[in-house]
Amino acid sequence: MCEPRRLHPIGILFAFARIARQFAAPTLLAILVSLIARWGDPDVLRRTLVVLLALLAIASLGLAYAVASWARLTYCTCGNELRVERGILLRKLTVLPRERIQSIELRQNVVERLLGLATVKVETAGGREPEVVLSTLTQHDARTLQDWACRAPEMAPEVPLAAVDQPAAPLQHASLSRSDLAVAGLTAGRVGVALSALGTLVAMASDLLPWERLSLPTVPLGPSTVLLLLVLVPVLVWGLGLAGTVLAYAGFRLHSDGTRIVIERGLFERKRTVIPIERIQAVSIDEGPLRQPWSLAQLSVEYAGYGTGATESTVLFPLLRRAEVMPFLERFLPAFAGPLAAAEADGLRRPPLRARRRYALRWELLLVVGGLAVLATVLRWPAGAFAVVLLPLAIGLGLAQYRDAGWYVAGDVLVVRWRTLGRHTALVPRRCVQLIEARASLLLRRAGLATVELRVATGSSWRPFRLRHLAEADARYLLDWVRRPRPRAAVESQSAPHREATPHPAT
Amino acid sequence: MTSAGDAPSERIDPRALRAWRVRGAIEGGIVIATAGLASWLVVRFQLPWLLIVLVWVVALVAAWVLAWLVPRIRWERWRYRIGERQIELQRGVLVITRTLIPLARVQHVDTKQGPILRFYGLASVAIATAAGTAEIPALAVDEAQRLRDQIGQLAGVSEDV
Repeated sequence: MCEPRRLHPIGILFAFARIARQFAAPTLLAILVSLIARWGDPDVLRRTLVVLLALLAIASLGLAYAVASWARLTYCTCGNELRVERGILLRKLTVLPRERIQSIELRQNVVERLLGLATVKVETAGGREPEVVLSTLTQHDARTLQDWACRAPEMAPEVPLAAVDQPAAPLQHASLSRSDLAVAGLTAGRVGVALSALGTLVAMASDLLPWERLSLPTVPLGPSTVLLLLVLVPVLVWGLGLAGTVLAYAGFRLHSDGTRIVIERGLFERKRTVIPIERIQAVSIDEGPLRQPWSLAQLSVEYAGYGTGATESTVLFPLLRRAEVMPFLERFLPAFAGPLAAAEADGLRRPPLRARRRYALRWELLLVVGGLAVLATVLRWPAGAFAVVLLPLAIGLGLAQYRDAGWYVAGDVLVVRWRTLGRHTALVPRRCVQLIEARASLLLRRAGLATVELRVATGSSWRPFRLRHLAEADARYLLDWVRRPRPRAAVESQSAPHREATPHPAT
Repeated sequence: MTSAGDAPSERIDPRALRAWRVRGAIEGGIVIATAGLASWLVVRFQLPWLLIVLVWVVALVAAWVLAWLVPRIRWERWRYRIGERQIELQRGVLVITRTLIPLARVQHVDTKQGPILRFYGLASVAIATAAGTAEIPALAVDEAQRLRDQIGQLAGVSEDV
């Protein structure tokens, strides 16, 4: 499709509206001022007429500008290039080779949805601003453009478009039901909700306490006010989480043809994302603190855009029961299902018992929590002394982190599990490891422990995968795993569920 | 991982030690000059003379640490190896960090030379991947050249990310 295409003509109207909005306020102000200043002048009618004529002239100029810029903006996909030509007097031609397109996003706001239009945003690596924004494309053109950009590069331009539309594998679909959306929203909260829930608990406990006997002369709030606040805040946070989730993930639909996963989502503004499966750098199963008790998880992926390195991370599915994770992976990302199955079957390799103490007593955490407790105690003696409760909580969290930390090597995929507040399990193919680091302080070395940090191409939100306080031999094993030249056989059997071929080091 | 057999083999070029000492000496000189200024202020505002002693003790110790101790420990601990497939680094004084970067993941290599490093024929080499940058603080210029060429070759044959 080498012939230049234009945006939908209604774009003229949009452009005109934008221009009008820019000029409206100052023009109206000028008219008002001139009218008021000349009030009572016999010439007022004539002057008004002149002003109106001038307005009309400006408006028609604006319209002409909008028409001209619409007519002069063309785009075409020529072979492996996206060409965008624009500008009325000063012509500007942007040529984007497909390999350089890092992400291409399709958005539809409410107005665009009503009119069957869409906006496509094309970004290349480097540069903050999107390289090309094409608004008011017809929905069909927008999808064609996005699919063109996300087509696997092996499919050279000579492959006719029809062949691309033929799915490589039977299409797989998944969508988020309304009840699941509601559940996802209700369990979306992270730190905020967890803390507020804690606050509520404290408040409930405080209701049972004899407040009068504790004699809190400096507390200006009555217990009921405190209770109200402590209930209100979590409810508010909760509500915000729910609203945010519903806005972002309503109507979540996903389908895959075996090479690409297409995600469509959003309540008012619809977004369409295309993820090339072969470019997925890591898959993460996130069980938030509110989700884990109900065996719920969210799936997200980190994928490299076309181009060099830079990655996008996106939610692959907002809510899955734990038992559904494996079938989901088998359907959509079979290369990752095998390693996860093997890891679940064999159990993860955990940090040694001597690391437990270090997980439980993290001095930086204890320092902060202890400091807070002391501060609370000093400020609100004696009620503040209850803040000491935080200490065992911090230790408990550390122990939970120790219990959940672990790793498993399944051929060419590393399974890493760790806990912050929620539990995360990541699957990282070896070819995606950008850098691996083992680190040990003097004391850690003496204990025969080391912390391993693994990095894939960094997206915006993903931290490096960190396995704290592994046995030194395990750390060395992980470094060796990255170092080892890739065995061919392992690559071929990637999709089949298989057990780990190389033995783990003995404890 | 501290065992000698397991660690990367190459040491930083011995000239780097001299280069770092020169830099350390300059930094130490600045500290001493500051101490001089401080003692002038003490005299000028007739503050207790004990302050002068204190300032000079701190300054001299700091200068010694900067010019002598830090470069030495830093040099002794640094190890690297540029292999066929990966770059390995080991460094650190209290916290020892070992890094492994697959060469196929390296995006570009920057070499940097300040006046001191240039005088000694050295260059600092920054190895950039999509996930961050690692640095070898001083390599002989031809060694840096070799690394650049090797990465250029590998970039030609390796598959995409």
